[in-house]
Order: sequence, then structure tokens, then C-alpha cells
Amino acid sequence: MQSKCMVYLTQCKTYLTIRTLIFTSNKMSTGQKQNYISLVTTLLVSVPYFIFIFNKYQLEVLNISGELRFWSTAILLLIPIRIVSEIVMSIAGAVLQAIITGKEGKDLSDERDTLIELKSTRNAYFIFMFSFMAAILAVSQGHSVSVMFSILIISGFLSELFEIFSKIYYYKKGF
Amino acid sequence: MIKRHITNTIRKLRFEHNEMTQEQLAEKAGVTRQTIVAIEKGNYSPSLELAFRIALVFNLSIEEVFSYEIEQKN
Repeated sequence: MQSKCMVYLTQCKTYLTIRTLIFTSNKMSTGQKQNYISLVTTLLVSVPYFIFIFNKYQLEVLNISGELRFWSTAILLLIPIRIVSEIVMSIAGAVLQAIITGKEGKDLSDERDTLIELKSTRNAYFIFMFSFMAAILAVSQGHSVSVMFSILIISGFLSELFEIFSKIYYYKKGF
Repeated sequence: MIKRHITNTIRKLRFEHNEMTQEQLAEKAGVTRQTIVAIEKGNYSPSLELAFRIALVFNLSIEEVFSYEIEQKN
């Protein structure tokens, strides 16, 4: 338990350090900074969760209905974990930002931000669409349900990363 | 090859309006500074509404700020 707490604390400390480094950089625009922070948040939350889930799966011997229950629970649990961690990390980040700069951060977005958001989401959907087809194809070729869910989880993660990288690219390019 | 693009005189107009900064123009037009930078560089074509808002900041008509150019390239 104590070692787990230490891991979480180290993770939080790493996150805040990286966030401070990104935030204080003068070479990036606000949009780029926000997306780099989002990338760090995604990596710090999702990767440990996936490692935990895949390790847990290795330890359990399940039948077909058990496997379905295991993977659907894993996906459903990821949603509140991501929401809570996003909220906690954005609050921590806003506090840190206020401490560093001495003023509250403005959250202004305009039509260009909306277009970048839409283009990046479209790119992410392309990745997820192909992965979804790959998952269905895997089942049709006789692979187990766990292979399908693994492909879906990994592709969801990859499409999220692709969305963030797309945003960074568009912000860097101008549009 | 024919290349079409929207050009603008924002940079010149800012200079003529008491050396207005990009930040000030962005605030008046209701967008971020990065959007003004992208428009000035020609990387982003603003919506008609934003183009009107920018023109209004300088008290000019839209065609005095933005123009549509057709470039012939070989």
C-alpha cells in the first residue's frame, strides 16, 4: 500500500514538473502547450491502467462470458478514471500556473481552435475506424474475444494520441 | 498551375494604427493572438464574420483589408 502511494506521489510530482517545463517554454503557442500537457496526462493515466489491466488478465483464467465481463468492466472503468484524473490534473495545473505567473489563465478559444479540433477528431476517427475493422476481422478469423478487446483498447488509445499529435501539428503549422 | 489565396494588409494597418500589437488586435476582434499571427502569415483564411470584425477594428471595408489573389505558376 505504502509503495503504491509512493508510486502515485512520484507520478504526480513528475507530471507537475513536466507541466511546469511545458508551461514556461517560450517556443510554443498556448494551443501547443495545452496539447503537450494533454499528451502527458494521457500517457501518465492510460499507460499504467493498461499495464494493470493486461497483467490482471494474465493472472485470471476465464471462460467466454467471464472474458466478456472482464473486458467490458475494464473499458467502463477507464471512463470515470480518465474523467476524474483529467479534472484533478487540470485543477493542479491551473493552481501551478497561477503560482508561477501570479495570474489566472485565460481559456479563450476561437474559430481556428474549433477547426483544428474538428480536423484532429476526424483524423482520430480514421485510425479508430480501421482498428475497429481490424478487431472485427480478428474475431471473424477465429481469434478470441480478448484479442478483439485488446485491439479496441489499444486503438482507442492510439487514436487519442493521434488526435493530440494532429492538434500539435496544426497549431505548429498555423492551421 | 493556378494558385489562389487570400492576402491581407493587417500588418501594415496595425502599424498605421499607432503600432497596434497583435495582442490588442486579437482582443478587439475577439480571437487569440495565434489566430492573428496565422492570418497575417497567410496560413489561415478567416471566416467572413471574423474578416468583417477585423475590418471594423480598422474602420475599413473588408476589401480594403483582404483581397483574393490568383497567381499563375509555371
